[in-house]
Amino acid sequence: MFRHAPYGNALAREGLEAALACGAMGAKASLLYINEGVWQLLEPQDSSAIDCKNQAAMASALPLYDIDEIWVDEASLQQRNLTATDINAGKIIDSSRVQALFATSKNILSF
Amino acid sequence: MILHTVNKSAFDNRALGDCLRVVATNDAVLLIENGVYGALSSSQSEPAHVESILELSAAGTRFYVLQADCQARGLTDSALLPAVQITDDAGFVALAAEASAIQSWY
Amino acid sequence: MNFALLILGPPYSTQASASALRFARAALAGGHEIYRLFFYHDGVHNASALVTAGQDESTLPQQWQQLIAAHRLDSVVCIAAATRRGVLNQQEATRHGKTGGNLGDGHELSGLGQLVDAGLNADRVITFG
Repeated sequence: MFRHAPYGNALAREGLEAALACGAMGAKASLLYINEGVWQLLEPQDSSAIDCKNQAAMASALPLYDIDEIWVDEASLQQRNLTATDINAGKIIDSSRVQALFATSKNILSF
Repeated sequence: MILHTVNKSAFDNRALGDCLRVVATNDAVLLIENGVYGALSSSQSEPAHVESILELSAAGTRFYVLQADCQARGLTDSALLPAVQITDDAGFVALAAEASAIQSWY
Repeated sequence: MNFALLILGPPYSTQASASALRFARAALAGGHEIYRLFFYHDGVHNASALVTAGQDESTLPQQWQQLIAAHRLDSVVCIAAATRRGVLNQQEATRHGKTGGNLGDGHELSGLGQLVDAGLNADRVITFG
């Protein structure tokens, strides 16, 4: 579960590293981008001038690790005036499906 | 049942509002640390949270505050919404054990 | 029931680490088990042996160490997050040409695989951020 914007603090990056580790170990993981976390999906990102790893480039490795259940909270996009065309990954879901995702998860790692 | 913990004050952070938007009626919400300010009944500036808590509570969602965090901040029992129950660290553990998973909003 | 704790907050700057410690104590007192403590993000600072308090005070990192020792808990500190924040064991310090390691006794530096394992094998994972 990602609910913080990238770059401003390390949660987004370190959460993504945890997700990649799930993939590397063959653990089934679903990712949910919600609230400020949806900013992580905005393209294009160029973080070279702020001396940070490009979060979008890191996230683009997710499918290579067989992490393809990527969900994006619809209301969080709407609150930020974002649409499906603004984001680079994920399927958009409504609040009831967010609830269902929580309810069917064995464990939730909150970043 | 999902246990949601919220540790930020509703007056300076959206964590509580973000949580309340996706909480289910069979879930439990535990306010900890600065999150306990969200349980104040006399909250004039954030009436939306109070309204959501009352509505969800009526629908079945359980709300709790951590006693030690209220006590530390000078929040007396009578200042809290009647819909919110007071629990302790053992109660926190029991809620986490009862839940199928725990989601932390911070 | 066994719990895994994901601790993301540093000592003192926020309440997260203290809240996690109280939760861990209460879980053990209630007859539960702690599958693993995983210190990640700024939480790695809880494993620094250099954190110092005034006389007669025990620091939050010392209290974690006491709990770990008393209950033989498995405490893992993410090696990548820790080394970039200056928390190293002796081996890492030597490898990177630093003067000395500062990882407190009772903690182990390891990879994120240990967090994934906790997610798979602990009954409950709880994040303290």
